[in-house]
Amino acid sequence: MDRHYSPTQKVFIYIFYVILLVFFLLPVVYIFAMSLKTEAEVLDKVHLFNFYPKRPTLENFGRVIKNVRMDMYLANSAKLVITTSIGVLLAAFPSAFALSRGNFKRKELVMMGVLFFQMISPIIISISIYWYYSKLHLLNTYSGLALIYIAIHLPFTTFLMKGVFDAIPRDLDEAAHIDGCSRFATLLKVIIPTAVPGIASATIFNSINAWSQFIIPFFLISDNKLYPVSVGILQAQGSYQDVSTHYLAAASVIGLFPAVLLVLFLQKFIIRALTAGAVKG
Amino acid sequence: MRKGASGPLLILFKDILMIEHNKRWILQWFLPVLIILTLFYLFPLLDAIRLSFTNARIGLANVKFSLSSYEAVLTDPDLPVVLRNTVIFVIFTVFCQLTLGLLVGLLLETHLKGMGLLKLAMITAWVVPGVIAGITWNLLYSSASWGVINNTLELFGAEKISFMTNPSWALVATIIANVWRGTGFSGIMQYGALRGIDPQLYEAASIDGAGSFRRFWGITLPMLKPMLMINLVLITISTVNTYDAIWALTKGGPGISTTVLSLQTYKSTFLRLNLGQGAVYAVLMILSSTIFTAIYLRMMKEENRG
Repeated sequence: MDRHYSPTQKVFIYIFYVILLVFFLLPVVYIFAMSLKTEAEVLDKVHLFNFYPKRPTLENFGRVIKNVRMDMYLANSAKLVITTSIGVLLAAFPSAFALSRGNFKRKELVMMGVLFFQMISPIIISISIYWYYSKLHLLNTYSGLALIYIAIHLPFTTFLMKGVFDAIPRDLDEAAHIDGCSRFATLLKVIIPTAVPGIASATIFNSINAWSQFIIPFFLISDNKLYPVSVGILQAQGSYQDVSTHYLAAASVIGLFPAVLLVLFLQKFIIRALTAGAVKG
Repeated sequence: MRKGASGPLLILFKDILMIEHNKRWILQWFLPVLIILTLFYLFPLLDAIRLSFTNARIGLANVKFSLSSYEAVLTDPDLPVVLRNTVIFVIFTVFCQLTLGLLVGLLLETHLKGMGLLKLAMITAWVVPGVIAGITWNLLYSSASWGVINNTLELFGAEKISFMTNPSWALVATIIANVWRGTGFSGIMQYGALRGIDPQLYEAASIDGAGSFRRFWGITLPMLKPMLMINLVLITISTVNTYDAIWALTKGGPGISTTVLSLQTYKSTFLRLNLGQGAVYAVLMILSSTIFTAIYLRMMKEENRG
């Protein structure tokens, strides 16, 4: 669609544009700038037009990796994200297939039932999970944590994958059936390979969410060797006295960098997952 | 959804159990989701409700059923403040996220130069983990040498604002930080909805002599309404549940001026180790999501009738 705008209209459009762009960009650019500053420079007064580092240094990153053990938290987060993304797909595929291909009454209601859980905050479920995990000795364990992560991402992933499977023509199923494939073989050999772009979307979406997940590890993990980045970074917030802003900024940049990279290179997949989720809510 | 929120759940289980014999495979294929959601959502949810009717504390051996937790929470002088904070936080966050999301959507839809960068910036803000968003905004709001916002205000001759120590400003600051992070979601959805509007509608209106303002009120907004309503419900629920960004930004302070229900749930359960009272706050969280959603649905119904 090609619409034309008068010069006055364009001025108005770009005034809003600049305000919003500064609003969205400033915090991210600012934290990057702070992470590159020396201790002396942090004490220089900065305002909107001079907050960039004059003598950029990468030293802060080394310091927070050594002192706050950001490297350990990064590894923990990466492990959790990978386990979650794979586990949630394995759990979601069969149900999504049944929802897409199965013929049963009140399918819509079953979907709503699954999505209903999406509304419940991890805070609420963590109260009694804490209680039971302490009895099952699952507090402060990696597997206990990963299981809850998978559960949290399951409702939306099921919903998303159902939509992806729906878009695959049923002719493919029938052809596989004629070739003697069981339902399981059809899912494995026909549906899943065809659904790769959708699976990628779901995985990127889940990775970003799992990376940001804070409440569950913050509530259930007290052993700081198991902390993911989101919780470990609070250690950085509390562990430095005096001037610590540049270290805190460096730790923050380490924590948000993977997510920003995903956005820069795979924006399309993220948008697809978001809009797919919105269509039916 | 009839019978309120539990309706779909009951039907979900009844339906799955009563599937005809030749469709039993469906039940089997649902097992992973059924087991995980039952263990990690349904059971803990019901158990939180059960705990709210007990005096359970971490470390307390004999737990008894009683209404003492409800009594303690409902007579707590902090409760009105926490509820007020929650309502202000939710209403302003949701309103600003929807409005800004719509504005970004409209800007992106112009397809003028540079709009891709705006989209990128907005999505980047959305993927920043909540804790890091909280830390970043805390630095931005600071009155120290690195506090960009206050120093810029000073540069233009305005007075510094003590964002983190003045109770009212702290709540405003929390809302702004949360709007920053949440707008990406609403923006992308509304952009998607805007792109779905048939351009012929606009052309027809232009031929009839409608200006851009009238086209917006007459075509864009009505066409966007279903998406706005879905957005409203989703954003409200996620705002009631917001925890990490507020915790990293203010820890609920100064005093309890930015303590919303989700933070109060945490404080009761994990700082005061009072599971019973924490569970009561959790029940209040579920209630507020439900009440907000019910109000929207009522609004929608009335508007459709009128």
